[in-house]
Amino acid sequence: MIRRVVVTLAGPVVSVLLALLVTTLFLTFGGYSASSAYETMWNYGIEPASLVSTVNNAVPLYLAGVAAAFALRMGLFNIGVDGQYRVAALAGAVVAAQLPLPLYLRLPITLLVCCLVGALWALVPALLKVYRGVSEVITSILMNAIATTVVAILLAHVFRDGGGQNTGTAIIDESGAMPVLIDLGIGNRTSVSGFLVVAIVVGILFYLLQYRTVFGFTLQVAARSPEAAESAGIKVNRRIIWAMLGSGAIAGLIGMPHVLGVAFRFDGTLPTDLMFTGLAAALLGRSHPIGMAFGALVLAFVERSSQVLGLVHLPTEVGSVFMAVILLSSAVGYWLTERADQRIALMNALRKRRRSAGAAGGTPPAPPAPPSATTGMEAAR
Amino acid sequence: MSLKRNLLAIGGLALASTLALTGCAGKTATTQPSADPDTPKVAMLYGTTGDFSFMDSAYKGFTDAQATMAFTPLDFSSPNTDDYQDRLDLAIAQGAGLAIGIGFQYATPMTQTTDHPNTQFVAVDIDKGTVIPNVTTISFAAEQSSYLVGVAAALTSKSGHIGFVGGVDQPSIQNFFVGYEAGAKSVNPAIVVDKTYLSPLGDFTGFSDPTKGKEAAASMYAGGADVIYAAAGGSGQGVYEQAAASSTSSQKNWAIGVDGDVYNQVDATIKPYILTSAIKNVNVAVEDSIKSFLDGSLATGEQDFTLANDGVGYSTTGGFLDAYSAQLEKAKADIVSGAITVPTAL
Repeated sequence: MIRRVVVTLAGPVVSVLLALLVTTLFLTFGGYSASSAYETMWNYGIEPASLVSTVNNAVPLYLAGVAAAFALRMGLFNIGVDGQYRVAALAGAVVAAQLPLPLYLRLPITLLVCCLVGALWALVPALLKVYRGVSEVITSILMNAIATTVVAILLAHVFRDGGGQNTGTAIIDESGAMPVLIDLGIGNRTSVSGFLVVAIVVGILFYLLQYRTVFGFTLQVAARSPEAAESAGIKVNRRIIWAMLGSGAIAGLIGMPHVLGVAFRFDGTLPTDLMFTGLAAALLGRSHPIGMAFGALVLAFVERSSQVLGLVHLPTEVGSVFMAVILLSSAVGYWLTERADQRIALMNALRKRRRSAGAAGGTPPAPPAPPSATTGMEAAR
Repeated sequence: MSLKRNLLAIGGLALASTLALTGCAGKTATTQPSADPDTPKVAMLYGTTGDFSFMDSAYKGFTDAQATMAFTPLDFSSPNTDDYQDRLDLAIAQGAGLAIGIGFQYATPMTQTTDHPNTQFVAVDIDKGTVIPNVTTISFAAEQSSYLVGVAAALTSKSGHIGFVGGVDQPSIQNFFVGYEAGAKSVNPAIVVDKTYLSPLGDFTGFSDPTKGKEAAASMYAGGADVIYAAAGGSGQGVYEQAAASSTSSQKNWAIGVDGDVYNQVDATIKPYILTSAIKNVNVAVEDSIKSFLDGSLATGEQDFTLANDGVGYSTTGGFLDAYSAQLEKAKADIVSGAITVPTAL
């Protein structure tokens, strides 16, 4: 038990350390003092306004992480999260602005529409994978390019509202926007968005569905061994479709904190890098609902606190470097910890065998137990 | 257990080296040591420099102002497109007396931030006619300068066929095209004006992809255009290079730059192909704002940078337009006097 906890924690810790090391190298060889940079970042990052912003910015990253993890648990790599959230955000912005209903109806409908649109956008790669055997990685990347064009055409010719340089949909007023959860009232924008609740609900649903239902279990089985799953009566193709639909539905929500809480319309300010940062959060958090929340918070904290660096004549790119290295190092970190974990399991098994062999007195030792496969897979999950 | 030790060792090594390197000396956090801490703080909020046009020009205004005026500069550069609000908040939190936001994206945060008693806001490159309470908005009549380079293009073109390469298919860039086309047609109503945008609405890669710019220009030059106007930020570099690359001894191709005077920015081998540049004096806007802030005369409301007050214009560096200066100056005078109304896409 303790070993499991240590191994689970070691992955992210090693990843973060590696990322810090590379960032430090980057700073040092660039002729900057890393300690000074980290100190400045930390001091700015722990200000109340920064912490509020970190929480708010972690929400879309968390949603992106969960969306990726939902497909990952079925062994699918949904790299189309990017396109799914942009198309869904456009649909959501239109619904939130136009639907003539009070907020308590309009908001849930808006979010449902986003989920639906995101899921539909993910359905195309899923169907192509099931019926034509095309890799979902390729098709979902292509769907991202299509999303860019579709959004551009719809925005420019159908949903554009108002003139000027900033092209966006109609403004969403209070009866369509996400209400504030808590307002700390200490200056401009120190209120936590209601999307925090949405993220928590999504996280709980993800946990229940993936870890506590037969459906979640069959996904796992189908991901491990499609042939075994099929012969056990699990329809693998159907699992693929459901996994992609679920992933797309969650992805549909990613852009909404920005649309319903920052810009109050769909326009050019919608962040476009949420998928990759979210993926980093998923990798850091090992696709576990709580781990990903920590991952998202760490990344949002780094993003926010690195903004201050330009001010003190240090490169603001530190944040981007850290983020990029996290993606790499979380893979390396897990590989290291996983291998260590497997080796430890093997050593323990061997030692136990040797000890029992010694106790039995001379009986030829049975072939060593296979390296604890379950532990390894546990870690991979 | 050896691997566990290995793992510990790797982690420890990473930690130790991070700590060791962290301790290394280097450029530390500094807030402009030369400046007097008692001088007012002026923050500039912008993207990243290196686009050879809009941002570079803004940055030049900021650095020029630092050389001649006494203030503490706060430099807020960010490559992100989603933290305009954060940067504005940071400027206020740092006690900036003046915050200059570069780009129309600052219109929304500056509208939403109503509580800024000790910080004056200047928003540069805002749509004409935008009213934001307690904010100075600066707009540029880019269509007017584009009209003039359109006139220059039509006068210079031998083939009666010119082109336009826009960065992103969005209204602010369409505005350059509308002015350019109107100017060209005022000289030669039958002129053919090709246009292309490097990326669709919402995809900003078109501003930073010289390769795409080069390809677009190559196909236009091959199709018969002999003057191309690049309103594409950093991608324009590709168009300038292609103007030189596709020229032959019998066929000279031209490129027209944007925002800054491109003739002064490109390599010597490309200079002979830069006909002119449509100038947008972002640096002047930044410098003037700082100056009037320091002497207390910065007024809120709208400031228009047009041909009339030399806020926009065209460059003549290289002397390629000397033969047409009379026509160009006449067109300019007519726009200023109102005899010509330049269409706009905004």
